[in-house]
Amino acid sequence: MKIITAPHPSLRQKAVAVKTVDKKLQFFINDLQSTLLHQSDPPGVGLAAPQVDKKYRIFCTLIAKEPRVFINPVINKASEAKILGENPQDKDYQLEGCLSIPQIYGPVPRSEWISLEYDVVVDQKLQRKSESFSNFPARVIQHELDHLNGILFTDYLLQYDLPAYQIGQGEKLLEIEDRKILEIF
Amino acid sequence: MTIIFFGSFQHYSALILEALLKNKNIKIEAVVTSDENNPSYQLAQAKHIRALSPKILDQNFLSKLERPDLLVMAGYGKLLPSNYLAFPKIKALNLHFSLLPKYKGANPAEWAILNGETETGITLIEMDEKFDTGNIIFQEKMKISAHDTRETLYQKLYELGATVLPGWLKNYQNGNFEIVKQKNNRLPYAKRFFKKDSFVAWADLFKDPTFISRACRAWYGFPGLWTKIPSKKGDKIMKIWSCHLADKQLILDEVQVEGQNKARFNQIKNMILT
Repeated sequence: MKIITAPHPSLRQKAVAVKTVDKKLQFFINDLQSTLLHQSDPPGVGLAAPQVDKKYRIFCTLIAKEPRVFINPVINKASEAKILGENPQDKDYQLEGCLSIPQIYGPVPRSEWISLEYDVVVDQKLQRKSESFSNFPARVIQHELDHLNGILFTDYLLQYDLPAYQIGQGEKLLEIEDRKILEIF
Repeated sequence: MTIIFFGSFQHYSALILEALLKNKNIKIEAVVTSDENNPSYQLAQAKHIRALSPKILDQNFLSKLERPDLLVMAGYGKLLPSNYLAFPKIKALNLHFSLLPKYKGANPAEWAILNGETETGITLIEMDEKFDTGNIIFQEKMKISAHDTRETLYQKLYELGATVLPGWLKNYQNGNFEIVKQKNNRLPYAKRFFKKDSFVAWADLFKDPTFISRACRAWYGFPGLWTKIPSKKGDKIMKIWSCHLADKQLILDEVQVEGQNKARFNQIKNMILT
């Protein structure tokens, strides 16, 4: 599948809950997973349905080589404490990027841990699960869940006046001075 | 074999120390804890072993100690500086209470319960300068029951550690082991929970019964699952000590409203405004 890039109206829509599991949905999930799996330049750790122009509340992740699918995810508890990266003492803390916003990176405050409810497909039916995540996996899930609500990580850079970076010559990160580009996403 | 033992986790660390003290092959040179009221500190004193509770782990403190064969840590809660890691003649080892590389961090039993894991375990690692990232030496699995709280689970894990650690140390000293390097650091991480983490709003309490029933057991005792109930006299803090699931519904069992003793939820539920 083709990953759409910002600005695109589909990236700003709210996705719709999945009610039933049929062949079409299962094919879509397989396709979404393989699309993420085959990203290499750059590789991705998460991909949400709206990024391939589908309105399902589904995203998949690829963390520690483990592919996972989350259907109808809801965060029912998020820590008050928000962090910019796994290791705040580290100066080059984790910058977020997005397969739908190529070449742009920035620090995003995310809850340090979250508790998530989501569905998985078991015997062609949806089955509700509950799981908690911290640090990097928690960050990826919050980023992907935002896609299901039409939110992009660059929104936070504008909201909190955080720096945005672009890859320049020699893979070096350069701060973007003209932030108007973020507003058109 | 001579050992300096580091451990401060309530009475749990003392379970390990006790097992090491009973072993004839082991001589505990000194015991280091966070404070003098710690059960490990008091156990050491009772056995006429040097007990210490340094505020800062600096070279000055280190120079007061004899170089042991091993430095063994179980629930000390602080990282050791590199000069401490290089201090023992053989190695500095840490007993961690999860199946590494999963659930590195300060609250491994809490996270295992919170995620509904059915098994966990203990892992002996060679300590390095980060939390729980060192080479794996030995590992032992254990089942988690559906009723385990963090207290019962830590009790079982430390008891397991007390049973197997003396043998592990002997095998380690004799070179009967194979190192497994830890590769991945993006697996589930067991970050420390605080009081502000364990609050759930009354309006949200019944939304995800699975999460709440696990959280209640995972945070049992500390930081403790708590909410605020609306009453005629305003919002009141209510701790939830136990609860269970019936037909996927959350049933609160034992609770404690601020300023009151523990009670059955049914006894106090009339004070909640709906």
